[in-house]
Amino acid sequence: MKENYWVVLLPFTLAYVVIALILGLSAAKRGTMKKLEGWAVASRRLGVFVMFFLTGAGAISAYTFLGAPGWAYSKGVPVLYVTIYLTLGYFVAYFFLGRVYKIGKKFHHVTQAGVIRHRYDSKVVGAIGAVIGILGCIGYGITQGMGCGYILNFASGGRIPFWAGITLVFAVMCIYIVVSGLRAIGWTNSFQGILMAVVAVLAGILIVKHYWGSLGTLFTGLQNEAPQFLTIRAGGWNYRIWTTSVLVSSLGIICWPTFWVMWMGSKSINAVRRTVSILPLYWFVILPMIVVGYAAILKLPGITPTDSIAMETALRALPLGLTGVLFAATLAAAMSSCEILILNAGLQCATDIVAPFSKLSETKITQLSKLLVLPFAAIIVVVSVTKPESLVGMLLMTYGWLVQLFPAIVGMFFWKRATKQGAAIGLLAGLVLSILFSRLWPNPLGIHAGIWGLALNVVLFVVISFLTSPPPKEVVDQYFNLHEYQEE
Amino acid sequence: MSVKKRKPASVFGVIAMIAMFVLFCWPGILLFDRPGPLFLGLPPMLWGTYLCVVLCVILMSILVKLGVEK
Repeated sequence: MKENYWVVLLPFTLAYVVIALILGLSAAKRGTMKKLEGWAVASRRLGVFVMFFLTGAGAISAYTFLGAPGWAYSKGVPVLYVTIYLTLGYFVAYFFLGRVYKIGKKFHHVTQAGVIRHRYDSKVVGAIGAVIGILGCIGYGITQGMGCGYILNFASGGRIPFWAGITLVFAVMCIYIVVSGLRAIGWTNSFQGILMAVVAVLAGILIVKHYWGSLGTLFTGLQNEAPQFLTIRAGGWNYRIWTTSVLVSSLGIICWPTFWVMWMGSKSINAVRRTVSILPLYWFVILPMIVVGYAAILKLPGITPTDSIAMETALRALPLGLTGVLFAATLAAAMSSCEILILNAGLQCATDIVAPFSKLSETKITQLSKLLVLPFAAIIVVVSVTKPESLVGMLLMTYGWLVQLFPAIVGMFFWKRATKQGAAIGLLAGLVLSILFSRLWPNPLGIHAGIWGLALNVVLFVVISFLTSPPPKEVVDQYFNLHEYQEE
Repeated sequence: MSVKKRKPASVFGVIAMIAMFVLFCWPGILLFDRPGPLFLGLPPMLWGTYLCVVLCVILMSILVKLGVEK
């Protein structure tokens, strides 16, 4: 290990934080940040380039640079479920995003829970949807917060404590999110997205070359000495947990309220369609980082925590300058995902939990949304400091909670008979069961906790919807006549 | 695009999506879940992952042309 490496790594990593701050603050000049649609969905003016990186970099997070190599190093190929679920998840999302865009633009919605409240004609169901969305944002935000803490602690050679690193990064993000909203996230994610792609590919190639010479030698070595890392079963998983994890996570993509905010920010329906159809190409960024984990299996055994394997490997194999850029890219990955999470948490709390039950003006709601970004960021920071789960483990649990929104979302657009009572009871029961099966009896019969919750949720949703009065026809018709919508 | 033209496109989209799930979850994943043989230096699971990405992009690009989500 190189001595005094932190003298080079820390400036690179901190420089990235400064660049993000400057970019984020600059974005405000072009938007109308006093209006809710200006701040929350960038006045619905984002083009394909920004949308591609906003969505792509938003999905590539700390687990790509830390958790995924860590899983490859400790478990092997089961980590590939990440690339597969992201790809399949956008295929599922494709059937919804046109509707999300149209309904958002037509009725000036800026959040997922706002659309749910409108369709089910119920403030309570909207608020429940918002609570689940916010829980998901906090859960995923903790994953990113832990990532930020690891990176700055490692880059400083332990001089920046874990808690201080997380606090610093979140404080900076809060500044530019409050000032510039989604437009700031679009700008920073575009920069972060390009940086991550270039650095991941470069680091993957150089680390494999350093330890093994070529990919063929690496995988031949694994095949001969540790073949268990090349199959799902031997990696500690089985087909049930693989299939149900991919299923829960793929269906969970459409349930992320953050993606709804992004899609509503698109300047046209064609922009959002084109973005999502080519987006899976960006997931190639994950593969070089997974290969970094493989490269270390035989060459650096016994490294703990396994989430730090990419940083440990880079420090030993790459020139310090490039390692510094890798650290900056890793921090970029964590920040790019986290920004939209804290924006959405504040936004949903203000617009879907507080506003429907009060008589606030649009200006007050906008101010409240900005203000609420701060306490949600603080909650994520405080919980992250306790390091509750491994990065990928935390991610899987969060998807189990969020996917409970799936039946209500499908019902919203595809089933006229879906009622608010069915949606509310199904959501709550599914969430409770999913939490119980995540924490108390993890994944019974080797099936992901989210699937158990989803099964109960769907049964209750359908049965209770049939037993209760149908929703108002005029509201339902608004959701089922979207093909009549014409872009201005 | 008329509603009549959209319907077959929607059917194609849903069938394609289900086929992708079958291929990359159980039972299709059995095709890739083996330690070898290596092809161009990469194990079957990595090739399976690349295949998943490429197939999804191709299928979704077809859906964009057909305007299926309207």
